[in-house]
Amino acid sequence: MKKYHFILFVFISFYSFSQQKVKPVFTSINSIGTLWGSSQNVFAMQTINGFSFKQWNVGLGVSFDSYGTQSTPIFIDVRRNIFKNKNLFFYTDAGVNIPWRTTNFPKKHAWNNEDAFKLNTSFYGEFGIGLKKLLANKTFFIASIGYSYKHFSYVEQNVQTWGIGGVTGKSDFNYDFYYKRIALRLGVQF
Amino acid sequence: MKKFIQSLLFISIVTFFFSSCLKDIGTKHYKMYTPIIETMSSLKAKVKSIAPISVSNAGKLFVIGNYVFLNEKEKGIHVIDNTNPSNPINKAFIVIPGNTDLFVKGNILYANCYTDLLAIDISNYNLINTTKSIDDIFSDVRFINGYNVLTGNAITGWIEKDTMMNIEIAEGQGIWSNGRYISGGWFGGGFATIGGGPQSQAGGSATGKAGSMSRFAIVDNYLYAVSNSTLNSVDVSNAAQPLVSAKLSIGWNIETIYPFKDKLFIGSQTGMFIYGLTNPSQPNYISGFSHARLCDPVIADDNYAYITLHASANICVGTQNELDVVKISNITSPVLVKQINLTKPKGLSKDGNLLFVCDDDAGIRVFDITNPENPILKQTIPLAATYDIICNNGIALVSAKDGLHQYNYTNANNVVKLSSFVY
Repeated sequence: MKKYHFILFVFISFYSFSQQKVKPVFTSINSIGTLWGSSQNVFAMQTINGFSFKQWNVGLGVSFDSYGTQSTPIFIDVRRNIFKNKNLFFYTDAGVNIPWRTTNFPKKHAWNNEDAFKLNTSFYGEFGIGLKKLLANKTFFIASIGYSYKHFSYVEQNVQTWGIGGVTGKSDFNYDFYYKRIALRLGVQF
Repeated sequence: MKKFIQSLLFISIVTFFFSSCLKDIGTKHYKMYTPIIETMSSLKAKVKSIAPISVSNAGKLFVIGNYVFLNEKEKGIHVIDNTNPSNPINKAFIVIPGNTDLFVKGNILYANCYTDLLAIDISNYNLINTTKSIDDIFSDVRFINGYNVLTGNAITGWIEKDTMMNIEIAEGQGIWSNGRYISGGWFGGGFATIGGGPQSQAGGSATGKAGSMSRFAIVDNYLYAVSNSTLNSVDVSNAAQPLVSAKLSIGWNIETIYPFKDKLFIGSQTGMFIYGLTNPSQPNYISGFSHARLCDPVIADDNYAYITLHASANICVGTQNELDVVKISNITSPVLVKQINLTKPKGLSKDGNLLFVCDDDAGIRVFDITNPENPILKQTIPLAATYDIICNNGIALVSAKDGLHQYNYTNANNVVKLSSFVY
């Protein structure tokens, strides 16, 4: 639950900015890149759309992330220029990882139509630093590198029937995968 | 540009520090079950008659005279005085650890106690006496959920423990085993049990009636008892001292047995097998009828066999839930003549032109089988978790999870509830 407190914090921050009579400017950050971890190296892409004020940028992001299993992280992105160097920024993301129901994880067992796999929504987070280079009016080239964390959780249901003593039941297996990757992203901000 | 390169250098250094934290982790949480093993001698020492107890998990049932014997799954048998079906009286409870099946001939109760077959004198059901034990006749029971215990032992329970193990994530996969975890390992196959219930054919001492879910049947002087893979012939001409006369391997996943005249109808998860009793001590295979892998009991008369098929997760892998009518007038070549979809049919029983089917939570289905090739549903009697049924002289005795229920069906158009013997 603590993980989600961060999201609440971001929303509160966003609200406090809106009270500052600073007119926010819409920004869109779109990037492609790679997620590099101990077991895979996969393509990734994301879009973050939000507002910027002064040195800050806050937005809502959506990613395509196929590391381990295909999923869609949805997250709040907060980034700020480091000191007054407008080329360098840090960013942090926090949100949820929504796994895709692929053929590897059918909802029902084909042979008896009982529940098969329950996919859980879990935590997603990333933080890192990046570079911005002005390309044209209000359009920046973006390069960033960060540490990306994805939790993939699912339950394999009704794996076995067991019973004795007049009592029977079904057993489930609970799986958790914690993926830790380096995220390298290139994109544009406008 | 210089600033940009400096920044890039800074980022590279940070990346170097991050790289030490890039180990993917996988975990699996599950419940580990460790068997509780007891010796058969200690288990059989517990066989005794005690004061009546309430029904909590009813199993198979058996009717003889004015008495009903109702199995309490894996625990023993309720002795019920059914002189007045509107008011059955719980008289005693016979403790038999691991019991699921029973049959009564005269004053002798045959019951399984895990791997062993017991002959118990119940002349006085308050003071019972085990007259014979045939050891390890149901040896299949020793192989359960991937465990194999030694002869003379039985698994009587499980110790449950929450367990966590790490899963190694293979390089290039992300999830163990080619993108999908393949389950298994800690627990073998499905739950295996000796089932059992009886069906009676006259001959010798008085015998009663068993339900279709039974694994025991008596024809004349032989008790036929099926285990998961074996048909056992037991000579009961001396009822108190039964003797094994033959053990026939008849395939796997055998579930029920039903005798009719000189035939045995055996229900397995893959079909119905018909055995002849030309030589009662050595039943001979006559023919079979195959179906998808489903749990099924079978009953029969001269011309038709009635089979219920139901799906049961991890035990019977099929998905159908139906009543099959199979024409057996040519006994060597059974032919399917009718299929009727039901909810989850289990035990069944017929009397004249009425066929009663326990359809789990959907209740009891009553069919008119005046034309067996076209059963007509007359009535559905609401009752939860119905399991097995015996039609006996106008009274239908139904075993449901909560106990024994009785119905009067002498007026086929108006089946009336007589009593519920529940906990």
